[in-house]
Amino acid sequence: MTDMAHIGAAPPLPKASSHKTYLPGESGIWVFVSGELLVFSMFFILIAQGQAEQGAIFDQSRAKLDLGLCVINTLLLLTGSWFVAIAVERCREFMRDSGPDKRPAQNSATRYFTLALLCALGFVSIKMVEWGHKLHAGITTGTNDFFMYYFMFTGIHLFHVLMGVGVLLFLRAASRRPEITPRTMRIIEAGATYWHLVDLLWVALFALLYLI
Amino acid sequence: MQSGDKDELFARSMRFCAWCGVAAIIFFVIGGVWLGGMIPPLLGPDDPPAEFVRKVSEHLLAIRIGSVFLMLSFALFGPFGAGIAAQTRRKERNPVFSYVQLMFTASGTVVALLVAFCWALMVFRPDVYQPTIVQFLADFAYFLAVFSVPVFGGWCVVIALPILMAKPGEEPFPRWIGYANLWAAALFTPGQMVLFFKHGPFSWNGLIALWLPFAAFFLWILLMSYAMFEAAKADD
Amino acid sequence: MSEKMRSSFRPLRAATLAWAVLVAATLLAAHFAHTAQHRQSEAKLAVAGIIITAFAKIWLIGFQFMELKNAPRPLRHAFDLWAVVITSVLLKICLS
Repeated sequence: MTDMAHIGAAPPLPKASSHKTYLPGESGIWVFVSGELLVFSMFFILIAQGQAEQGAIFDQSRAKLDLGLCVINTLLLLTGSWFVAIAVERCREFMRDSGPDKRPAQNSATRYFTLALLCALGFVSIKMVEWGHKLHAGITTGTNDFFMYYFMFTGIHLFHVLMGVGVLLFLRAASRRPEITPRTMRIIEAGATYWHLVDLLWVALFALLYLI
Repeated sequence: MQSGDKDELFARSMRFCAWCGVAAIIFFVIGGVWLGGMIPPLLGPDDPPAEFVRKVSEHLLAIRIGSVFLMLSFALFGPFGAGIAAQTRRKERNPVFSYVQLMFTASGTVVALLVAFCWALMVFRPDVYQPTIVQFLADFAYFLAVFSVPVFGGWCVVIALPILMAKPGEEPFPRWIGYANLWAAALFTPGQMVLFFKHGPFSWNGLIALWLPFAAFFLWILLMSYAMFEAAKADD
Repeated sequence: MSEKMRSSFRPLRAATLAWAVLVAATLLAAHFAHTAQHRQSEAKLAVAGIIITAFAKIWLIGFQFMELKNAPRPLRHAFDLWAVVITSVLLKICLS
């Protein structure tokens, strides 16, 4: 595959002056990301339409949501992405620095993947608490259209987060290998891209469900 | 496999399987979309039973003929899936995922055939059956089609896994097809929600639980048929 | 500080800066939310602010964290276009 050709030769690019572009991960992950963005866009539009058509019900229902908990959740995912970005960069350094004569002791990326994992698990826990509150108060998907969208879309997103936990576990394991090959680096980048997608989708859902 | 050793029979057989996928789509468009009223959905889960009887009686002959085309379409899922498994098998030294794929092909085909049976029975004698039976047959058909996420989504996952796990250069299909299969599986998942809604986008005639999985499924068939045509080229 | 360490700081610094902006934007948007939900007269402006802030954050996540800033131009421009289109569509629906 042609996109493997320039891995070994391309460290993270210096800024604007170079015209060489670099696609992190592999083309397949971008197929997946683009696809999910399109589908979730449809979800965003549905929420917005509901807001436009049933504004009063949506506003009343929204008032029952726990904004504080959710700001924390949003910050958790953003921080998780930050940790993943750092970890990927550390893996690149590790790949560059490792070789038969000069191998550093350990990949410092591992602890960042662990931190990201903790953020993800924090998000899941808080989400469960939030849902728990609602269900306890008798609010379900059948209560009204707002809560239908709320549970269904945060649920679909949560499913993505759970897959993301699996991906992060895999990334963490990959970072502990004694050597990171260009191929492994590509796979790490693909996993990281997936995680950033999960973060990105939440930012939109957060705004549409909690804030407007 | 020696590089100079071309297997023409394999190429032709793969193309047969790929064409089965294409034909399945065409027959579905005739039987399910044009004649049968399956999608866009003629019926709705919140229609009263009498309404079901009225609607299907109005389109009786079209739905009957449509059901025959549906049966043809869904039977072709078998060779379509087996072709994918055969290509997967080619890149295995010892078969595992090719066997797993055959299991999912078989399950998926049976589930789909039952959809066609239900659709036909729904218009066999709607004037004699209790109206709730007619409604039940429609419910059953749609549940078979979209509530079966572990079957069809699982099928996509077991196509993706051997691709993504393969050593570079030894993948049965290009890696991006593995990712596309994972995306398809993700798009099927809202269908599992039809149990919890009788109206709205998550019910069996809804935008997210019906249209999304169906559109994704038939595009996926097209994609995998394309993948099989490409795989056949290696042996031409 | 060795040359190697210096060159690795730039991507890390960019990531940290992006994170700081995103956190600030989140808190800002939460403040807008309070306006949208409680002060009727400025609600529409607040809604617009929230949607635009959200998709600006999303664009930044794509640009920096997903490294689209270095990606092949067609992909990057497709993403930019998507961000603009979805923001416009949502604004049109929510503010009509």
